[in-house]
Amino acid sequence: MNVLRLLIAGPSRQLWTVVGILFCTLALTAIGIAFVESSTMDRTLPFTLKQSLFAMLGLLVLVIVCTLDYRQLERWSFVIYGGLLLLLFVLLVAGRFGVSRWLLPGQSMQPSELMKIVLVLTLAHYLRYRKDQRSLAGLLKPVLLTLVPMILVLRQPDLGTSLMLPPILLAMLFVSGARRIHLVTALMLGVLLVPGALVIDKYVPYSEKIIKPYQVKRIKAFLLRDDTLKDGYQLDQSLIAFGSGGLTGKGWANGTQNRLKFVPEKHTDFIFAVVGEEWGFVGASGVLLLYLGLVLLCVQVAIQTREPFGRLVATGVATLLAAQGLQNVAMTLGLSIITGLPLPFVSYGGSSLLTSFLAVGLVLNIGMRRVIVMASQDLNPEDNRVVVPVVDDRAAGATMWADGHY
Amino acid sequence: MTPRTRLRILALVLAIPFGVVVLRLAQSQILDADEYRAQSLRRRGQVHQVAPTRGRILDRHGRALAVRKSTHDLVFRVDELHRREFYFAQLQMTYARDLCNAPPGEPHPTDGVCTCRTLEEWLFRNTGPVTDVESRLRRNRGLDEEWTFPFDISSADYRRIPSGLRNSVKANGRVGEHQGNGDDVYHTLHFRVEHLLAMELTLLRLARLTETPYEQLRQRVSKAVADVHAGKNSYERHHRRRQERPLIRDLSQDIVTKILYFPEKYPGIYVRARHYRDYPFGEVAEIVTGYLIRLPDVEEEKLKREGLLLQASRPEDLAEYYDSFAERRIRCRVSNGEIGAHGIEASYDNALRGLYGLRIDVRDAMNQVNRLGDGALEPIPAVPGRPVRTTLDVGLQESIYNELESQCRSLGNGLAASVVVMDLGERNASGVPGSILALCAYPGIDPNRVREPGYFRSLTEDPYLDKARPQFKRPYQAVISPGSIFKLMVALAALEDGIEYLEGDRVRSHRLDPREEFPCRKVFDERNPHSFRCTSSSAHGEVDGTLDLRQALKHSCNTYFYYLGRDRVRTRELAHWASLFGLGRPVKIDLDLPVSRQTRTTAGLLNRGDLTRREMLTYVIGHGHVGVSPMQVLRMVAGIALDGRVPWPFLVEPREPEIVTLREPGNLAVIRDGMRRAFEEPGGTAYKEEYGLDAFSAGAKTGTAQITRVGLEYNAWVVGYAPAENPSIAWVVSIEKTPHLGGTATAPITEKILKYFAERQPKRFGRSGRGSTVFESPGSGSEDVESGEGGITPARFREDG
Repeated sequence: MNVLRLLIAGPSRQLWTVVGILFCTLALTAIGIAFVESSTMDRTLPFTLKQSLFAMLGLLVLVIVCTLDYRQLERWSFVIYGGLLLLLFVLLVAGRFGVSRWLLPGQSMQPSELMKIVLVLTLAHYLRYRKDQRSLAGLLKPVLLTLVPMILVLRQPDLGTSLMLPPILLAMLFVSGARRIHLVTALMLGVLLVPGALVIDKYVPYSEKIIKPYQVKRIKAFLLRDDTLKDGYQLDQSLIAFGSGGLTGKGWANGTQNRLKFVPEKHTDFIFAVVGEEWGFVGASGVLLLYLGLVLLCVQVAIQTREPFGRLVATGVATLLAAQGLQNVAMTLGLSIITGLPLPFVSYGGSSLLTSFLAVGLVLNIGMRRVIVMASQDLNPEDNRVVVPVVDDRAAGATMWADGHY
Repeated sequence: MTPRTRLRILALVLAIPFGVVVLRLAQSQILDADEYRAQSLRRRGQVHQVAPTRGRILDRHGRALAVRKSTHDLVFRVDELHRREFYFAQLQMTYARDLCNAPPGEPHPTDGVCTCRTLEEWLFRNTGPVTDVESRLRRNRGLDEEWTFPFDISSADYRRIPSGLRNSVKANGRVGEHQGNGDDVYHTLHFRVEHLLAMELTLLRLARLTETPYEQLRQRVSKAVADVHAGKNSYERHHRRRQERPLIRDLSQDIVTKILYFPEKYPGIYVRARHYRDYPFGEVAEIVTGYLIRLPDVEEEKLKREGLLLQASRPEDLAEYYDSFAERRIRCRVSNGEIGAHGIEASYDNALRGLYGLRIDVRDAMNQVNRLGDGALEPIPAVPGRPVRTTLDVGLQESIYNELESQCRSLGNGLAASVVVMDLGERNASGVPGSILALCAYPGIDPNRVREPGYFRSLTEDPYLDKARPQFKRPYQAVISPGSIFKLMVALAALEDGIEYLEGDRVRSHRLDPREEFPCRKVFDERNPHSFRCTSSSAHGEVDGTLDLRQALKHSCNTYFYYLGRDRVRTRELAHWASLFGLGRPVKIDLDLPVSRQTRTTAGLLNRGDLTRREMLTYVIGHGHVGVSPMQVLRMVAGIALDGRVPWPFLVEPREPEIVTLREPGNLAVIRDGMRRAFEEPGGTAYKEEYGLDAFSAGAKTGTAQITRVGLEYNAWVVGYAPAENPSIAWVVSIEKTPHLGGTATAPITEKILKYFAERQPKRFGRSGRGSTVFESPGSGSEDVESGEGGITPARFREDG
């Protein structure tokens, strides 16, 4: 295996990156299992067992993804993207008959979770050797690629997941060389979309609303800090959990806000509040540090690789993890609106865990392969030299061959 | 910009929010941690005040006058006992539009004309009387009858039924489905008869078990249901349904056991233990013990405003509340919502009440009590109230009360009466004379019944009690003409001061010599032959037709005292001496008001100004311008018996007597001699032969105050002390509105008192008796008082609170 070879070749920067990513992932997963146990202790269902099984399954997924060549995914990314869009659409139609986010009634998999990664792959595929994203017209296609699944996910309704998609787009456009002025404009437009949607919502019936009334209520609760709204209550309890934890916390499984069921959704969306209560500032900062490490190491992989698709995928995954983790943590701390978004690796939930492992697996895959690009070292879209990527597929650089499908 | 640079910028952009989040974490977890910790404690901690046990009230031998007892009550909850009520109310509102009189189990005719207006009506039209259903159920257990409700519910409607109702229906019956016209599915509701009539069947069972009328129980439930429906909104109605309401009170142990043994037979019925204050001697000692009343709402509001009330609450700052609880519980004036209304219960409420304890329940978000807690706040135990030991001798009290009852009510000997017996001895526990041995008033209130609704109304409905006014605390609140008892003070004033007059240039005092004799005539003043008269036309059988002071006191001769009133006494001096001996001044007794705030009981009436001659003549025989309470008279006679030391009557807390200094030390001995003669010599107004107490030595004075001129109604008095030498008890008996004269009316009661002591201490109360006290210190003679109880005894009392 590549990992073994890397080990034999001696500690290199690449090795450290890969090991660091693995360490952060496993540590976060372990912490997640511990706090799922703490927050579901008084419930009869075997949450911890299920989470552990999913973690093992996730590791399996990670290993499988690592052994495959990620560029195979590149080839199929548009197909997967199309299939998943179709699935989302079918679910949306089926939703009118009582089925919603989950693919099967047995809560097996949420396609919207998978959509995030597929979007990363698709965008990376689309953007890897392109230059036209530097013009305003060239931005249209990637924006459309993001907007369509975003609206479908929003209609499920899953505000949290759909909000994860624009940051991915922005980050990947930025790395692939889009103009900063365009990106800033797009960001502004995106922000303006929210009041626009609210205006439209006034004139359409409930079932057609883009942003549902309860989502509006959440936004209000966040902006006005109104305790009488239910989400104000959630936030209040979450903040009390953090605050009463203090510097070092009340100890694992000793949090009163947790055990006395004051914190809502404490094993899924608000699990970070439980961490903050039981491990205090030290523990919560430690978890955040692990996240930061994971994100920065993913960016490091992007920096280290010279292959544009891999670089963009690593960028996308780093942004995805950062955005999702930050949104969840900020929500529990009252810095952001409350959305039903799990904390990657930590929150209870099979889909979320598997998707996160999948994403990290992709980055590891990229990080472990030495792709040698003959040409510009940095694949700078600004220089006009012809780029011929030559990849050493087996990392040692024995045979060199041009990318077949390109 | 190369992609690597862009990636580095991206890394920076992604890292910055992490920094912000960590700062926010630090703010809430380090800077604001204390506030959040307090909030967390407040949300999960609920404060429960633990009510203390009220202290006992004891008599001087340790017999209990007031104790705590417990009993069992039955309570019910409407939502569990009377399930039908909830879904009938719901169904009635929405679906019961076309009721009909179809028999159960058959498809209802859609075109039938319905005569039932409510579901209840419909139900009982179909079932018949409940007793029939019950007997049918008893005959074949598991009656499989089902009642089908007479209306179909479309599937759309069915989905709109509130889930509570749906679950309730499913739990007590079943929901059937049938195909309607076309594709529509209709739902029908089926109930088993046992479930529909569960409330009635339960009440029938209870009625049989407890021998309570079924209708009465049914009425209570109906009342509760009416109360539920009076709720303003569904939230309030929901809570009223869950409220526990009393059904039957005071159940015996075996019935409680039966109910607890088969809880499934009595759904929604719960047994609750209840503690209450019991007064074993009831109305006999009510005037001493007083009773507890539930605090009126107005008072409660007032106390709440002043912070003198403790209640279950969720205080804003739990830790602060916990810290200040020690002070709060001392300030608290009420425990269990009850407060002493009269007597010792009121005046020693502070000591009896005890101090509240505190328990903090940890509650989770669903308001369920949870064992998990940080244990930082330990419970504070309640401090039980201290027992209060009075100086009362309840045996004496009881025998006097029973005698009064037979005299006043059964024999019609008087309307109302009061008797007070005082211990003059100094070898008792406190070493202070004045402790009260018996304090009786007839009629009394039954303190065990005052909490019954309508008890006080029932007092006014009884024609006798309505007149006699049992709420009136006669011994220290009544103001009655003393009659001849006042002559004791007239004699003293005449002996001590007399009248000063000028002889030439010298002021001379015309004092009474006890040996000085005045003639006794039937009519004192020939010009007013009907006004000033004596009881005897022959100078009470004394030789020469004249009497000295001793004889006058013995016979209670009016004429003699008319002479004194005319020639030897003036109002000012008389009032001076009377008030020195306690008449016309408030008697401070430790009853009726908290000791710290003792003010005055009725002061009586004592004219101190100038009177006309005619007024003066009525004054000296204790009529007109003088009114006294029995307690004042008792002080007076005790002062005479103790040779000028006028004791304060007390039940718990001793007070040093007042000392009256006389000009002539022997004057009181003369009066005592007169009183002794009245009791011991034949012809005396209180001659002992009448009491069958030959070998008894005492001094007494009777009094008869005429109330009306025509109808023969008197206030009869007797005061006395015993033994004649070194007296150890003093007593006063006052009977209001009796047809008999003083001596006759009060004789049976005096007999009871004296015999009570004579039986217990024959030597001391005989002629040769030299005793100076009635009882040893209470501690030595008591049977059941633990010495370490820390109770309030006369010697050890300290005011607290």
